[in-house]
Amino acid sequence: MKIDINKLAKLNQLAKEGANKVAENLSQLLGIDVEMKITKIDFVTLTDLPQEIGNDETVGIHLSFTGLPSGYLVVLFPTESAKKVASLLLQGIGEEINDNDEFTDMDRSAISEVANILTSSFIDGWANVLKTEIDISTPQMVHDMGSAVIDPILIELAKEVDHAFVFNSHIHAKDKDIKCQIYVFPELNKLMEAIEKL
Amino acid sequence: MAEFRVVNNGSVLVTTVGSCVAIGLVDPEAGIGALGHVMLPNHNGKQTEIIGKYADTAIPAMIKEMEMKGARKDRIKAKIAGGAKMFNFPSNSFSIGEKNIEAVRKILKEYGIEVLGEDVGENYGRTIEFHTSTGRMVIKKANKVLKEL
Repeated sequence: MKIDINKLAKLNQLAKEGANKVAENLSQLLGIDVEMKITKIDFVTLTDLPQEIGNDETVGIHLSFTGLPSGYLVVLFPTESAKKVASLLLQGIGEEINDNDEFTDMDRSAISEVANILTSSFIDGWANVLKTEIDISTPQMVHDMGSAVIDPILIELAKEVDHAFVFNSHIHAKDKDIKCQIYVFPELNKLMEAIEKL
Repeated sequence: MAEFRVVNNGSVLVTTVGSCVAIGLVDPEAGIGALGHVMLPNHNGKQTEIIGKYADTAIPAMIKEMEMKGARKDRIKAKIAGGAKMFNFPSNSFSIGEKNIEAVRKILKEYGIEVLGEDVGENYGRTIEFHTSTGRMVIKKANKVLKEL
């Protein structure tokens, strides 16, 4: 595969644009300051990721996207952060706050709503840079141990490859100590095709 | 993930699975045990250096290594766990957990290995502790014991 070095800068722009959009939208939605902490592009061995993510309880939101490029996107919130997100959102609309450990249906729907907005804003950020159309599937939420949350996506990728290109961003709302991580696994050939077209 | 270990020192092997399947094999008489963590059912002729990734490459390799350490195939027993459906994607491709379980059962049957216990399916991840000298398998979810096989 040949890649024009100038186009590689576009990859960095992509990484930042997607995550910046997420931070911006999360900030508006929850009415708090949110910053994008780290964003990096990695080439990883898929089977190394579960260890990196660990076994702490995590809320994961998965979706697949198709177009130029296609791939998978996963947003991971530590459980505490997901609870805070739900509380902030529900407080905003005058709902009662759930202090229990388990998520209520209301919490789940609040988190799903946030996930919808975050994931579509990430993909919008990419579509803007790449000037392409990207369709996304309905996000699915799962609450489990971190490594179990990511495993279905890794299996799906592992059908074709052992190693993958991943965009990894950390987002942090300092005041409320809300953290989330975004992993995006674009299909490499399609991503390069989109970049070459710019 | 996509790995297996074969030991003869009685250690407890641990892994966490969602839709992947954990396979514990033991020859209690020889005190040799193994734990594998497979991601997919079949390699379908695909070249891979990661033999622990597929049920149809991992299980034969686990048995072979156990035999090399002194286990006897006719004494090896199995316990399996995992293969959850973690979430409902509209496409069927995500029922991979079920396909993994079926493949593991089929391959073990082909080798004449009896499955003494299973904790499979459902929609949650599991941490598996496999006691390699006895074949005891403890299934945990977020540090709480769910089941013992």
